[in-house]
Amino acid sequence: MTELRLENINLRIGNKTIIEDLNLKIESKDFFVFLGPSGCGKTTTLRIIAGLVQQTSGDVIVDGNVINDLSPSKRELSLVFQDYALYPHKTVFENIAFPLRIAHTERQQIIDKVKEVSSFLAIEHILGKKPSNISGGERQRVAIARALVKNPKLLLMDEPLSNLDAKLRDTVRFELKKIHNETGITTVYVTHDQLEAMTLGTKVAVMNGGKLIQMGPPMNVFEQPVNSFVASFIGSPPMNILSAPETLKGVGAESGSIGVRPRAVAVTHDAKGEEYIELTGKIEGINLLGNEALVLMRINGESLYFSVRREQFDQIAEGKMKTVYVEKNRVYLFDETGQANGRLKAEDYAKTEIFGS
Amino acid sequence: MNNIGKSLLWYIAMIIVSIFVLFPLYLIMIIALAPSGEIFNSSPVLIPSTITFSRFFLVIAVYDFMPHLILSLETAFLVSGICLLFGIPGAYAISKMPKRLGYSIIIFLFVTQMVPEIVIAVPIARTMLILGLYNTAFGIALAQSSIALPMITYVLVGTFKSVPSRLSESAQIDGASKLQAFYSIDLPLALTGIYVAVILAWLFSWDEFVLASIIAPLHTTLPVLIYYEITRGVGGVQAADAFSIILMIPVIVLVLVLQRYLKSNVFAGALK
Repeated sequence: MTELRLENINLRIGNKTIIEDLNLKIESKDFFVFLGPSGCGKTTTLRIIAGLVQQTSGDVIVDGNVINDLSPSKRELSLVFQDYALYPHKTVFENIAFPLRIAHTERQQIIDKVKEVSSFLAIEHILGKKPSNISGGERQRVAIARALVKNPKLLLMDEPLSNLDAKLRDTVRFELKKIHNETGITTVYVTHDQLEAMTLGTKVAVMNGGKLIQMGPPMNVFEQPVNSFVASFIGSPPMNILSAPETLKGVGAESGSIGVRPRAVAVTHDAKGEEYIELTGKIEGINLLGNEALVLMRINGESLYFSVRREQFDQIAEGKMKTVYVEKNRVYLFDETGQANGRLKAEDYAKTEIFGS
Repeated sequence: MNNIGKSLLWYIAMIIVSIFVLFPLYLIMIIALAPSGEIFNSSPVLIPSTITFSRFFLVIAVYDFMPHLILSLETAFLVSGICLLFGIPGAYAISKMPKRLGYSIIIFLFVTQMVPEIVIAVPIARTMLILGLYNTAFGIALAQSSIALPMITYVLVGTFKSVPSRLSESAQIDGASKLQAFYSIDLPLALTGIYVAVILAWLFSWDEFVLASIIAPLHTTLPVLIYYEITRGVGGVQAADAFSIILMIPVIVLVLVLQRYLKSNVFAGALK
């Protein structure tokens, strides 16, 4: 079982800082997800762990050993690339067998191991085909099989689902979870999709601009974002950040901004008085999604998106003024710089593991 | 327009292009094969009444053909070999360099081409004399490689650049050293370009005249021999014509053999 630490990792290219002072610990059996918008340094961090990119300073430590100077081939880890990087001139069997052949594994053992991993991933029937003759989903499984076959210390994955269509993505997401549960392999996963981070990760690290912004179990990050960036990045639809002075005054906040998750908004008042805030605006658009609708409301020049359940569709109409209600302890407060500042009515605002500021 | 109309137009275009390319070759064939009376008059025929292979036999018998053929083949294969031996590692290295550096090196490689061949041919011949390579296939091949190698390297740089670097990275993650990644991934995937390079180097040497004539004036290659024999007037124009056809045969064979390896979609299925 493997534990990975990054200590004071910096990467500068020319005078541009790509990664700034990254410190984190990935524990054995973690499914650790780097989450962030494109260009935030998450894939670069993964490539530093893999040894494909050399950091300017800092240490990559696996089980207490500094591996900065080890070439990728000596690091005993696997990487599933975003675009799979299958060897087009080799059959699926030979693609999966490649790490074993390089390691001079015995012939019979190669056959056994490839069979084992391919039956685990249900790709036994395509072993004889070339990568050009299989579907995108199958290519992805082949890439995962090739990554697993050598029992790596660490499994790295770089946005492995981004090239699959939406339906397949749901299936494979469940399978990745299953693979992790069954192999127990320490996994580092990079994605820009908060849904993947929430569902797969045992821990999530949110990055932005080359810095680690927040790290912790996904639900903690969701419940207690350290700033408005994390708040609006995690959760779908994203959290509304409102900062118009009239709005703030109306709900009793002093300055900065408030954050409201779309599903925290209620369209009817259950007579709980001061436990609620009221927001009034004009409904500008309604997207019907089946069991719920996503509604866009303009409040003091800002947009508020919120969800309405099917039973309450009659409460909303496009072009009409409407007052909506949000429980006070579900209204997040942020200061002028966007840092989290508790809630309108804090009840269980526990401390989360917070890195950076 | 419907599909049949489209493919009909396509075939017509292909036929026109084929005629354009093949008709001169046909004329060369006719001149070599037809009786001289039907060619050298005011209205030469397009389809001769009889054909004769006598000029081919004349060329092979009178011109002392075989030793020169062997020398030409030897030289052409040596040039291909030298170009691959140095061109593949050189081109691979250049393809992995930062763009500017790689580009500068390629420009630098072509410096030899800026000087007219005939100017450097004499000093090269002198050097070959000193090295004992004058009048040898290896001597000609070395000299010809000075021209062919930059060209081949350039072609191979393009080839290696087209192999996604993601694949050799993946091989390294899989445990391969850089060298293993090179010969198990990059090299097989660059094969199409390498075959093209072989054809180019081989053809260059097969046709090359200036260097061959100065470095091996006595025991020389076929293009130089044909020039000597035409200027001497042996067998007339039709014999020289037959000679040109013989000169073409190995080229056709080489291209036919290698063309089935020229695949256009080697990277299908690699990425995404």
